[in-house]
Amino acid sequence: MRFWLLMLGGLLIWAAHFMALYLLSSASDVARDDAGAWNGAGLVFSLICLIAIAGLCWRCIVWLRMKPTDETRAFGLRLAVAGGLLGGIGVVFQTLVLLAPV
Amino acid sequence: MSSETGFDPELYKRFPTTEARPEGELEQLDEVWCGPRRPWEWITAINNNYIGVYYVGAAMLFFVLAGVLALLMRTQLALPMTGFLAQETYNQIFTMHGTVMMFLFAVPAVEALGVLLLPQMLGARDLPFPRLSAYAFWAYLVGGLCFFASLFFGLAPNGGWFMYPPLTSTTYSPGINADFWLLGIGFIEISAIAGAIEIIVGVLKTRAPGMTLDKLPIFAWAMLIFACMIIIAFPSIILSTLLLELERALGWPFFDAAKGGDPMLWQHLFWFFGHPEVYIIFLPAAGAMSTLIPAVAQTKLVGYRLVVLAMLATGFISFGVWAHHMFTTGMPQISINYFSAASMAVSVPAGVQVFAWIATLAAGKMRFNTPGLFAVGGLVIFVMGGLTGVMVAMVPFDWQAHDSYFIVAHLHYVLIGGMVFPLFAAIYYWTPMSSSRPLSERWGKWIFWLMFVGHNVTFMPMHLTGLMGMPRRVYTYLPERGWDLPNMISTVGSFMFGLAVLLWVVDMVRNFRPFGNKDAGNVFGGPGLEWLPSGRYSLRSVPVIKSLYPVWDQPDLARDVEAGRYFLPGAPRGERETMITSPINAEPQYLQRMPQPSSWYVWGAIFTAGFFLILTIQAYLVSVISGVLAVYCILKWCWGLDRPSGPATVDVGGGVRLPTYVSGPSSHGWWAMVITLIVSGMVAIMACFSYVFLWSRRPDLWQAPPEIGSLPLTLGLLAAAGVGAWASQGALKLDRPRSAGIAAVLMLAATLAAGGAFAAEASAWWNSGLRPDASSQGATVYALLAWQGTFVGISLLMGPFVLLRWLCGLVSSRYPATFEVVALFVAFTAVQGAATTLLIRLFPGVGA
Repeated sequence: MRFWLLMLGGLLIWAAHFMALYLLSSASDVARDDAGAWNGAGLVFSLICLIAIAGLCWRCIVWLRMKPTDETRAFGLRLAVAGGLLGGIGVVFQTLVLLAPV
Repeated sequence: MSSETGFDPELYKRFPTTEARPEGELEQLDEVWCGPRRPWEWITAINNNYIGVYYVGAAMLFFVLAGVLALLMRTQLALPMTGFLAQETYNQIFTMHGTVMMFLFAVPAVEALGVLLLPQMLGARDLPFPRLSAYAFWAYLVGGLCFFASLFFGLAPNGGWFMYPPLTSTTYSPGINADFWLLGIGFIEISAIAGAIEIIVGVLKTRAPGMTLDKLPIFAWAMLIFACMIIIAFPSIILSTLLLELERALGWPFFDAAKGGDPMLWQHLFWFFGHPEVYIIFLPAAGAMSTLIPAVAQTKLVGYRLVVLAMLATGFISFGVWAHHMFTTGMPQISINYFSAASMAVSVPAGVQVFAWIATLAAGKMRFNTPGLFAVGGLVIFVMGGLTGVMVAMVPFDWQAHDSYFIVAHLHYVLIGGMVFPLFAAIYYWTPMSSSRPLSERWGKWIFWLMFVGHNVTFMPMHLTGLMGMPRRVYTYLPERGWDLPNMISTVGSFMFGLAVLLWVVDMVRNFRPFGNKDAGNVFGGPGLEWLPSGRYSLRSVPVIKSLYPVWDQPDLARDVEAGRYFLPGAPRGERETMITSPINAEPQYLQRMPQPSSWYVWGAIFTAGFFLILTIQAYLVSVISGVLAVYCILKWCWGLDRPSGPATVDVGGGVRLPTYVSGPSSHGWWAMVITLIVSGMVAIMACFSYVFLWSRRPDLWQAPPEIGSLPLTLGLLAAAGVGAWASQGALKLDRPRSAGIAAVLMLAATLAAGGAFAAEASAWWNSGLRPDASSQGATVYALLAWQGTFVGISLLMGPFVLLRWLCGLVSSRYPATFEVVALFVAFTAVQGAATTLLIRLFPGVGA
């Protein structure tokens, strides 16, 4: 399970980020109060997600630089880094929505 | 390589073996895996070589039938104000065209391709649950044909393939046409999910030794992601069809705005399934493209890892785009922006795959054979559809193009380029594997060009008709609006496409020779295991995989595999069996005993389809009888599980000994149950979403839940059920003289506790005065209770089933797999019950 979580980490974080932003915006719509505060919460969460992705990528790159002999593990780590980068782009892209004027 | 299971990878060095194989070994293997000998056995066959071909054949039959419906529609639209089809007939035909193409052709076709190809590709004898594949196929075929036949009685659904309420509510669709769709889709969902379970466990657990994840064929990756997506997406359509049918049959107002319901709920639930569905269809086809393009170009796929990542990313991001079908519904602007951003983002992984294919073709030497033409043609069409996809992902443009023929053009470019052309490429490419003759190259090229030109002539003008304002789904139009010429051109193109399909059918009839003793061989020079010499048992022996392209990189592989010099060269126990390996490194774990053909799963499938379809015509008694018979057949099928047999370990070649029985998380049955429970959990999660969503629409209509004092009783009984189920398998593991009996009784008690909890909770709500037809709160609360009640009902069947097995001496600590999966199910029922109870009792509190 750890292998799968590591390999899919970046994409899982993207998914969590997307769902969280959607839930926050829906909650904001239901509450009908200050949308700026909800957006602020979204921005904070986005930052946390980006830090998590950066941490994941950094950790995987460190492991890769140790030249793992296990090809499957190396494959998983490379996939994790690429998935992290893609997830990171996705998170930034979704976060830009929050920066639009309320 | 480090070991995942404790298996010593050094043992692989014993292969290929050098000693001669015993006499009669191959003959025994042939005999054990023999094909049908009597007419009836053609129906009860379970081997993937048969079921896979049946499955692909049935899917293509539905493709042809839905295509005929398309031609009828195009004939009607060729000229303005024609009366070729009546309005109501046209409505039924366009609804059936979409429904049949999406539910009876697209998903089953790619699932069928998986069932047919995966065992050979992975080096397995068969997929781990061949009876489940057979059950899925027969339920789909019988149900699908009956569903299609509704058209001939004027009873076909007529509300469009996405069946939006309130159009499909009883007010505006009073007949049983909509019910045919809602219940008819039910068995297709079951069939698709059964197939997905088979594929996930098959890809993860039945790979040839050494086929680690980095050496997994790209098609198998695609099928794995596809099946996981079905597990996540299909629960949403299961729930939505259930809710709409409950509203139609019993008046529970989920979508009725007057009682606090909201039609938007349907759109959320439907598209949470519906958009991933597009990628569910696309990914296996893309996997097939990534497999056959290297063969066509005779070079390795460029960017294998990136293509895997792209498919994984597509799988994830596709779940974040569902609401881009709802841009015109008045959703909050910020939500629209999220979905617009995600819709554009999903083009990134799709683009990675497209560039990988182009790079592979450029790196190799392209051969313009029929599969190659279909692959390149599909690529061109898909890219064009993708570009208009980015256009409609932009909200202002979508507002203009929504529900116009522009969308019809876009979706056909995506689906035909992304799935139909690759499927034809796959059929031409893999037919020599299943048939003693390849399809005609000469005909194939004619068929390709007719189809390619026909597609573009049909759908290219639709972009213009859409931009000129022609709405989709109209059965006719007025003259002199500028729509006449493009419509006529589209009709001409559609008949070109139809001619291509007709020629293909003729070519199949002329050349397809399945089920023979020989296949046509590796005509296209493919690199995968499926091109090794094989029989009904798949490969003679299961090789150790050292490369992503074993046939290209391991030159003596075919000879050694055929000579039985690898794993499992015979049938060590004289019965059907396959090797189960670990999910990451594919290390041999145990030998799975495979079932023999019988008729129970066929009857089970027929009665399952009967239950849903007879329910539609409101013959409730007959429907219930059919349902009971389906349950009986399935129980009868399950009765044969876990029978003791043979030695505890056997030699699977090279002196490697493997156990013949395993339970718990290593066993294939445990995996299947966990995946089934994920499906169930997803339905429950979507139902909880519906509950919260409807509350957010009309909180003023919600009343206080029952007195909190009754909650501990429900939760206590559920805790007893969960603990009882857990303790029962613990008791069985003790392996003492009475442990089997104690375990069976504990299990029965656990199921009764779950039943008691359900009764307590249902009566508490009933006594609170809330009624399911009164408001959206009542509807969702009782829907959640009904879902839990279904699980409790199944648990109450399982309890006596386990007790009966114990009385017959079939519960034993040496063979606990069946008992463990029952315990897992009952424990899940308890957890699900507790979670939903807490939600409906504590949210939104004591009334708004």
